[in-house]
Amino acid sequence: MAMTEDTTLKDSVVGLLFVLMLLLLLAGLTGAHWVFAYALVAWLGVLAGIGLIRSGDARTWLAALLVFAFLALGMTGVLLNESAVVRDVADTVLGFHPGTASLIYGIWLPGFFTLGVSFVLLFDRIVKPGQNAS
Amino acid sequence: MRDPVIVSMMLLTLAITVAIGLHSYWEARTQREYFAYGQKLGWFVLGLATFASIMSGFGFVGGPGLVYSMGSTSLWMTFAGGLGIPLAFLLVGRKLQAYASPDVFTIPDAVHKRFDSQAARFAVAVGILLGVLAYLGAQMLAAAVILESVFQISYVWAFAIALFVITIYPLVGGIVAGLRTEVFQGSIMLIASITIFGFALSSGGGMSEITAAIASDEPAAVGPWGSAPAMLALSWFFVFTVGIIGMPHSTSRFLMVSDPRQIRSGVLLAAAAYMIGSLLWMTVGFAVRAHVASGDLPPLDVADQAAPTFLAAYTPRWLAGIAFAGVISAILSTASIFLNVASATLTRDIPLSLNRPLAHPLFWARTWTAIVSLVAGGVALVSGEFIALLGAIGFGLHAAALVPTLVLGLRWPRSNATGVVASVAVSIAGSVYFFLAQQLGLAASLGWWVPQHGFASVALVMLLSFVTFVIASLLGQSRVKLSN
Repeated sequence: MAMTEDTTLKDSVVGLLFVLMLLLLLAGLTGAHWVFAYALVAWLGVLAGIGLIRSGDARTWLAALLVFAFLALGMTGVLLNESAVVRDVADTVLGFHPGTASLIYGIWLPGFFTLGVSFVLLFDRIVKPGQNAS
Repeated sequence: MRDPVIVSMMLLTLAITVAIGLHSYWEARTQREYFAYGQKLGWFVLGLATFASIMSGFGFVGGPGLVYSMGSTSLWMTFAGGLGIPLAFLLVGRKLQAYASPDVFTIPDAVHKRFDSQAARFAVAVGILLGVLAYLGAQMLAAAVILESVFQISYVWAFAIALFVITIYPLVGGIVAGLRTEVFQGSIMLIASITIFGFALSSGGGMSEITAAIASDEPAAVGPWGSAPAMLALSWFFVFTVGIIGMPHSTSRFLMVSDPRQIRSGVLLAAAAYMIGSLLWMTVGFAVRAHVASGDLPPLDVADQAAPTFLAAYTPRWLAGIAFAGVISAILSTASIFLNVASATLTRDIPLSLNRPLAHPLFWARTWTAIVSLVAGGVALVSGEFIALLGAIGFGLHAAALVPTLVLGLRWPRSNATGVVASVAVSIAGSVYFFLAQQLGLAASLGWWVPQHGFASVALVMLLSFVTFVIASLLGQSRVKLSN
């Protein structure tokens, strides 16, 4: 059976993405990197939500929230540690500068596991049996 | 001096690649097979081939070079794949697969089906073609440089061999050859990445020692933003996370998948393999930088020498042989698929958008493959550095031109052909402007405006393309009903 899903984008979601895009533009052009960082986290969180969330299914909401939460926590770790100084091995966290460790262990690895694995585990919930697009 | 181990492994890789490609001739007998694998792609080929085509030669040579010169900055570029690949499968994979049918097997086909507009199909096809042409010559140059270095032959001969190999197997076997060789090439790349990652870590005494050694020389290099402004790292993360969705040579595979469940299984393989490739990108660059900081190695004249220098100094010859085979595999896999995409655009998408379908599509598919390869190769050989600079805009152009249409256009009922055409036009204009301003130096010589604070111009063009898509769609025709 061909499969598809109920993924029509509401105007309000596109509106939210549009506002975040304007914020990204403004922050990028003015060099406000903290604003850009959090706007980017929100933007990616919305995209993950578009892909994962299905109305009335709490597990899909939970997966999207998990993606967003890890991204936000990881980015916060990067920003809070951006000025830390590594003088010797004792200053490293799991091999890296504390800010870089937040990127690796807070954004990179969790990003893959929360989004990629959620997609695999929830596949049958987010792709419903139906007709092909036409 | 030629190294017999490396030369042997390189020859073996080229021979196996060509043999697999030529054998695929028997399964590329129709346009649908030549361009879309007969739409029977399974998860294993989907996953491994997606990794192989996204991780181009840049990942093996340019990436470690960037880490050597800028520290952590470029990690944001390669780590974007860990999030971007699952995002591409999640947002676009299932959606495009739903559009697939015997008459819909290219991205412009799907766009036409969605919007019922030849103008939208034409705009997307042109965006794809321009990006491919910009990128293809740079891949050929990179292959020639590697072959020249390994075989110790003249540059012209090296270029001729590169051009022949890159052309022959996609010409004969189309996407069937491209995908099957990518599985072979991706396997080599994976083996090379895992083993070199181990050698890089152990050569520096572990990651903590490597970090501390670099920090003693330049503290900022090991920080989260590296030596560059934070905004550059963040805008690269934006571009490469979302931009992967717009890569036609990987995204078009979703139209070749036999069943949506294959997408579910393929995503983990593609993303995990890419993340393993990122380990090589990161550790080789950091290890060489640490060895230079501690005085074990002299400073490099050219940052791109980081990977070859590491292989020569810290790995056994057999591993260097695998690594060089991995590099040439990465280049071949990307270039051959680009050729197939360009051929599909010229054989199918543009003629159909002009209501002039070609009478003998398979003949034209092979003819266009040869023509595009010869033209791109000729221009690359003559212009040299210019085509390498042009290659830098290929990724950005694809990302800006395609992502708004694929992410918003396939889902948002108010999106329409006006939005598609306008966003592609902005993408092309913006990419050309910043190519002239930054790569050709008109910003410095004539004072053309470019973004400051490290904000990457490609991120700016992508955002403008998105904003244009939304506004133009709202200003365009009325609400379009989405059937699903």
